[in-house]
Amino acid sequence: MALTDEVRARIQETIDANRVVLYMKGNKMFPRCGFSASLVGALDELGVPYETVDVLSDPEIRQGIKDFTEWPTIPQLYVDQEFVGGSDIVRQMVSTGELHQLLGVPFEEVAPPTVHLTEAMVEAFRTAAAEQEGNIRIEISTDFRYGVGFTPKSPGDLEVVTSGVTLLFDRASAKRADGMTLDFAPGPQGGIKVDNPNEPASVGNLSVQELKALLDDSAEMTLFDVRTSEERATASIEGAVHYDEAGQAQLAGLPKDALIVFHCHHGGRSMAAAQDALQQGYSQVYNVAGGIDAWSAHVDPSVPRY
Amino acid sequence: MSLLGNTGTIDRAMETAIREAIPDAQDVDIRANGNHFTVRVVAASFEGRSMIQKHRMVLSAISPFMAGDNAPVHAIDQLVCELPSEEA
Repeated sequence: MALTDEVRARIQETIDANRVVLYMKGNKMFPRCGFSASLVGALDELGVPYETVDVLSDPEIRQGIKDFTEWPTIPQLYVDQEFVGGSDIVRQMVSTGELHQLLGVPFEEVAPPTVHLTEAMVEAFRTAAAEQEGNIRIEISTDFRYGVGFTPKSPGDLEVVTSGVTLLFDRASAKRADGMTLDFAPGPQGGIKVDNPNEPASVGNLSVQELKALLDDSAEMTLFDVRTSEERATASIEGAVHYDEAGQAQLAGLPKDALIVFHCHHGGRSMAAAQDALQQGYSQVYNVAGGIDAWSAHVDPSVPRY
Repeated sequence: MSLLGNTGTIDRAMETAIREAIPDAQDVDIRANGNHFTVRVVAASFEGRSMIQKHRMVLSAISPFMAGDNAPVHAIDQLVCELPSEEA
């Protein structure tokens, strides 16, 4: 499909009217692809104004921009009517300071982060490294989602050697990684566990098995059930407090660092309540993944499913 | 050349396409992670070209694998283009 004059003119008009334009999937608030999200994160961090075009909402532009640039992938960044690159190139340019220079933003040095690895984590990385080529790269997005993979070293990468393991970070990830600890738990429920002091408080995920362990240990915590009275009459977890007006008053009386757990039927409504508790300043808030339905399925089959 | 098949086949088909487009490629290394790929190419003909030009040489060779919604290659996570003298 050839690029029509009309589509070419629309693209040209957009890049003429805006100094910095990002053709992406989704928009700034809701990027619909990890590569687009990483470029939004990079541009936000640089603090320059930029325009975005959502190619998903316009099939003509989606194909048109690929033909216009002669570049097969999206996102695509334009600065001063010039194509700068896709996510891979721009990420490297952020690391080396080239993008800062291009946009006239000061480039500050970032020190390699201090990262702690537990023995189990060191062992897991060594085992994986023996089977893979490249270095271990850790990426941390603006909303603190973590990615770990084996990739070649790129210019501007910050390299950290800790307990004999080499880790690579891009600049933005390095800033977010400083002071974090990585632990590794084997098994199907396991994986890499991150303890990162830079991370803003967020709602933690609690599996029904973890909830069972907490209840069995009589841990100091409050379990709130956000479902309706009718649902609670049908099935309930022993010890759960109904999150009605009285329940909300009980929450208000708890210290801000109290361990607070929310559950509902499947985990959706309780997540909303948990987010709300976080907003109120509670720092240790958890949501029971899968809700009481998962509890019946995996922990206590005597609790009816509905 | 079929664009379908398992990822091992896609790896080889991509490598063939890159080697056809860049005949002096000394090393073409393709690693798959599902339908995401990491590609590394070492070639003397990258000499004197900008990063975009280098990437374009490789991407234009493999773009047939990336076209359409059900493309066998969903994304290139990382593309590294090196001169033989830069090879790590």
